[in-house]
Amino acid sequence: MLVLTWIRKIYKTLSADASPSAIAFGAAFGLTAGCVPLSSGAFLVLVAILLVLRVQISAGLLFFVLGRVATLGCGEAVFYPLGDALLYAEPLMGFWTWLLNAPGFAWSGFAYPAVLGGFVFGASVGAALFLPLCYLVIAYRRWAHDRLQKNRFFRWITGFWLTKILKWVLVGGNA
Amino acid sequence: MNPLRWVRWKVVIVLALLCGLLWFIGLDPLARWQINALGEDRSGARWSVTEVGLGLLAGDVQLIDVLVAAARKAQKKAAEINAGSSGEKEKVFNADEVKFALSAGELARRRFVIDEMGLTRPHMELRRRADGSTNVGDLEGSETEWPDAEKIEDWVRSAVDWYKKIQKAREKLPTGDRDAEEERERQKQLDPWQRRVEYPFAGRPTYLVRRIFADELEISFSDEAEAESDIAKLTEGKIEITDLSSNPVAHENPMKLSLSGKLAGSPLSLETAIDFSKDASRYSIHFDAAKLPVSVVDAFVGDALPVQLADGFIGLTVRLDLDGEENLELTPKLIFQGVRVEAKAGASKIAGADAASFVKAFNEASEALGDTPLEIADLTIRGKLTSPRFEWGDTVTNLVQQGGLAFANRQIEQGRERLTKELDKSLEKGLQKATEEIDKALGGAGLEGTGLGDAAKGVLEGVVPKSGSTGEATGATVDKIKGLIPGLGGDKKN
Repeated sequence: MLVLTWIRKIYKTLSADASPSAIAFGAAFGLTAGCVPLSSGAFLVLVAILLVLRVQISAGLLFFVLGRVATLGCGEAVFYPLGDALLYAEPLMGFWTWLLNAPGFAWSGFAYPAVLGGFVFGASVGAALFLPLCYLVIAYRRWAHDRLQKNRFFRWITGFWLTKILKWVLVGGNA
Repeated sequence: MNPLRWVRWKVVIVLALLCGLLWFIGLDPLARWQINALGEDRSGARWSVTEVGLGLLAGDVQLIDVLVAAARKAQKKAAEINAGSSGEKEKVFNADEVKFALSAGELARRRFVIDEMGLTRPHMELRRRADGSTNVGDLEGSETEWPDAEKIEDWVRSAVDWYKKIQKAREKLPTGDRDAEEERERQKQLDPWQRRVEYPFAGRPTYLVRRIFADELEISFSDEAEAESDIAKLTEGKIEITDLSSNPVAHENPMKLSLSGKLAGSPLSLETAIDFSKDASRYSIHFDAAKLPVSVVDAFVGDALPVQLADGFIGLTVRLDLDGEENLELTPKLIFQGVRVEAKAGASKIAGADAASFVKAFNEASEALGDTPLEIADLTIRGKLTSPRFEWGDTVTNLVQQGGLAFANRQIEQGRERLTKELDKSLEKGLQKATEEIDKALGGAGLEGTGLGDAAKGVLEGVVPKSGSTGEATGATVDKIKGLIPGLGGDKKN
């Protein structure tokens, strides 16, 4: 039921609910949160940002799951070497010494190369995806949304009696 | 766009309310649960608290009924084999209350700094087992390889083993100037998610307690190798530990421990300093015990001694300085009062002398001296802590060569001379003070130059002989005193 609700929310989000930048920000924060360990201070801050700022939470959740998959797949192979290279880069050592002893930042977990690498990877990919995601949402709303609504298969599947029953049972009559 | 509209204020309010509710209602039980959960089922130290009081705005923390126990390793192994249990807990320490203030500024920097930690009615149980291990040793958790049981002598061996442990711990401490590449290589042995850079934290301690203090301390010593396992109890204790740090290399001041109290009724004080701040680590121990019953001494160090101790009391003052090279040099002051000794089976030599002659002379001297102390202040111990070399001075040589009676008489004579000198000194001081008082009084009354002062001084000098000529007069005084102090000689009735 949760998955069905979530898919509907994403569909509604893409359709009209949220601004493209809120979706892109949600995706960026969600992806970054997905790339850092759940026990790190950085993760808690990212979750707090997702909840408190008006970013798209559904998009954040989707990209959080993608981030977790990326962590499982290439956490050790990509995140750790990236964080290791950053933390042991000679010109940055002074900066890291200052940052990792600064109030608040000391709890971020950035002293662990894998955490810093995951954070930098997630934030970089999130930032790189920001504009393409915005354009994608705009383009979808402009070109694809109406065509999808008019698509015969889409209309058949949404109008199919089994889909209607499932929707009524799982999501509720008003959904 | 107004940035205030970027925030979901309802969520902020709900989160703030939840945090506030947790702060005022649920934080103390949560902290208690967390502390107790952390202290359960560990391989080493286990702990529990009955109540926790957090005053986080001021950084105050109060723990009520603190109990620290160790998982007994031998039993743990047995339990794992037989029942799969995590082992039996053995109480090591408890206190009615532990109170301290965490520095909030340092906490934000992920450092746990406590300026003062006060303990109320702490009680410690120090138990030595037949295999030489101690319950305090079990707190560290890792398996320690203790020597075979037959090689274990007594608490001296346990102390030496502890010294070695501290040395090993020191080798593992960050030096502050470790090469980043070396550290990186070392980290590669760990799981990638557990690897952590250390260089940003070099030269700073993560945990620091500047002062721990407690009154009414009690320490119970027990030894499972002894027939009577409860061997002594330290009562009315006071303890102070300063500069206890997770990175002692970073500190200029050494870690210090001072302990005082009464061990088996005898006043005792112990001061130690461990200095890791220099290139070589330095340890300093100053131990002073006035009158320990021989039963207590025997229980602690009996196996390491060449003789079996019988009745009496022993006083010991020792200052031990050790550097990292284990170069040992100390001159203890030993005071024996009414002590009788017996040679241990197989001992041919004691203190460089024939065992039988030594025992005979010592017991004779001890008997002749009665309650007067037999003092040995010229023993020097050199070499290494693990293999000390005893250099006995003239006292023991004279004791054996002259025989016990002659030695005792010589000791009495020396005591008399010392007492004479002390009396001389105090009389001279008193005379000088009285003269000054007379001069002052006459000056105040305007009677200088009337001859009254000289007359008064003449009277005083007549009563109290001058220094140097007081030998006979004070000698007579000593004879009188001697009769009053049992065992000093002179009056045979005493």
